[in-house]
Amino acid sequence: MTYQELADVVANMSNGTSEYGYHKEYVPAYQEFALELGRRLDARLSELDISIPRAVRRTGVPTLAFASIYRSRKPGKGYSLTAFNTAVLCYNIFHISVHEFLSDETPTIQLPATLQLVAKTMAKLSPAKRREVRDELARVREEASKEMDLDLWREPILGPRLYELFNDKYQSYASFMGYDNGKSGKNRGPYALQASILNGSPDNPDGLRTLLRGVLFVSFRTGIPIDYFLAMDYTPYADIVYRGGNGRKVPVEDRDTLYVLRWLLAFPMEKQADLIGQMVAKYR
Amino acid sequence: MSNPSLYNESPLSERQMPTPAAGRPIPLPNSIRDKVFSLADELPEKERTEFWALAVKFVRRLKDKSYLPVDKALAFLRRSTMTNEGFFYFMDILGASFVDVFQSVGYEDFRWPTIQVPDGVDIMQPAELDAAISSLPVEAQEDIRAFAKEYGPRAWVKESQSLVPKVPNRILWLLDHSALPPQERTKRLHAALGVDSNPWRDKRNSTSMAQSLAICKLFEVSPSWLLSYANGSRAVLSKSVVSEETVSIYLVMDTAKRIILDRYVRAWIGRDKA
Repeated sequence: MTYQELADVVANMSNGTSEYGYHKEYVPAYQEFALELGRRLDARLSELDISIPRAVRRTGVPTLAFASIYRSRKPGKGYSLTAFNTAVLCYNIFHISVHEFLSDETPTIQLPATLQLVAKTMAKLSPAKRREVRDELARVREEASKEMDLDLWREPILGPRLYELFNDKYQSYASFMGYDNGKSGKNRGPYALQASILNGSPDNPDGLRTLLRGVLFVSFRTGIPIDYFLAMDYTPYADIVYRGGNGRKVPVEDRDTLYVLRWLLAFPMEKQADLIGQMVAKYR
Repeated sequence: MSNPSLYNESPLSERQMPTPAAGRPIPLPNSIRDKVFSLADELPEKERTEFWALAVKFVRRLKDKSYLPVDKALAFLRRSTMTNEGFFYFMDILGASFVDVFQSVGYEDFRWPTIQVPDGVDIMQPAELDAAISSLPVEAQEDIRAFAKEYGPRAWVKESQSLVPKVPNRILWLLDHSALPPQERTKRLHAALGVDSNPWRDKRNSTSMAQSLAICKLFEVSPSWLLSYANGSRAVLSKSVVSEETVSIYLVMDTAKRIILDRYVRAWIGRDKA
């Protein structure tokens, strides 16, 4: 089962949902895909220059245990790392995007509404002005880094990203995922549904133990590459686009704009919005 | 203001807004229904005849009876509870202002609902934003509205094009954005609509006027807001339509987007003062 075949299974699914909130065809299909992923993992690990324990220790992420990596690459066992650990593995050890690990293709991510505003504003500016914005933000960033930790890769970003996405679409989780509210099997409310698919239960609010299959399911249903849900800064791992005036996708290629975007992504939500608001008010 | 407020526990508001037993319909505050029909009675003869002809048509459609006699239809209208749909229908024919009708029967003037602001975030409440935008020059107001429209949720634009206000959407908004804890919100909603109600499932506009008013009281919002059109072009207010529309968008945004719009408006205020 390849990534594309799994995507086709999700696209052609029946309306019935299983007790976990997934469509009933998804889990058996994913289990087949997990065997393929185990083989992919084995191939990637064989190419590594350093030993797996050392590579894992270098990441400094305590949840990533090399024992689970060994288990996942064993033939016939199937891939079993969580979504967060998969992201750590791909970004910090293989230095590729998760989407590429799953499908061998470079993902294309459309910016959310707030950052789209930044990209659009930057596109209207002259190169000199763009440089000015970048330098200004660099100063703000340096100042802020004295007070807050702006280092990327500290915690899963899944929850905030889902929140951002639903708000951009002005929809509830259930309707966004294509469910009819109130008819989604055992899970009546939108929040129960979210909890069951993404394992975002109250004892796991940050999504640290969310399974890869859950995030992948959301990625298929929404048509957004999985890296958007896993990487705090997805700009190095994907082609970034924004929606232009007539609905066509405009790629962001300017270096200064990409720097501005990735620095903004490192800020917490409120600070990010504050900076974007000030920037747009000044340069729009 | 001397009008008894909807929220004051005055004898009048007590009589108008009885606390409903769960699941039981609340009687329509007669004053609003009577006010709507008294406005119709004040129309010139030709318009008045047209109004009542349309009213009879409405009741026949409502009851799904094409043969209902005129006197029975009118009698039904005069004594029955009114749905939001009926209220909008008649107000649309009359071309009357919601605010005027509510005010004339003693309800509070239009008031924006308050939003929940996370700790450490400095943003304006909708009423403050409305006042701030209204105080700016027309050019700035237009620019802010254009910005909010371009940047605001697309679904809002869809909703604003609808002729009938999306009261169920507003009730859902109250549930999602109210500063009350989630359990308290559900409790209040059940008190107003009955325990079997599921606002996520029931997206129709069939909530009765009385239920809408009960929701207003329970969530402490003004009826003019709950029942007003999202689209500023069908303004219920006499003041600036531009700021009304902008604040309507502000309400459906999430905190991050609100911060951005807030900073944008503040930048205009700074420029205006300079």
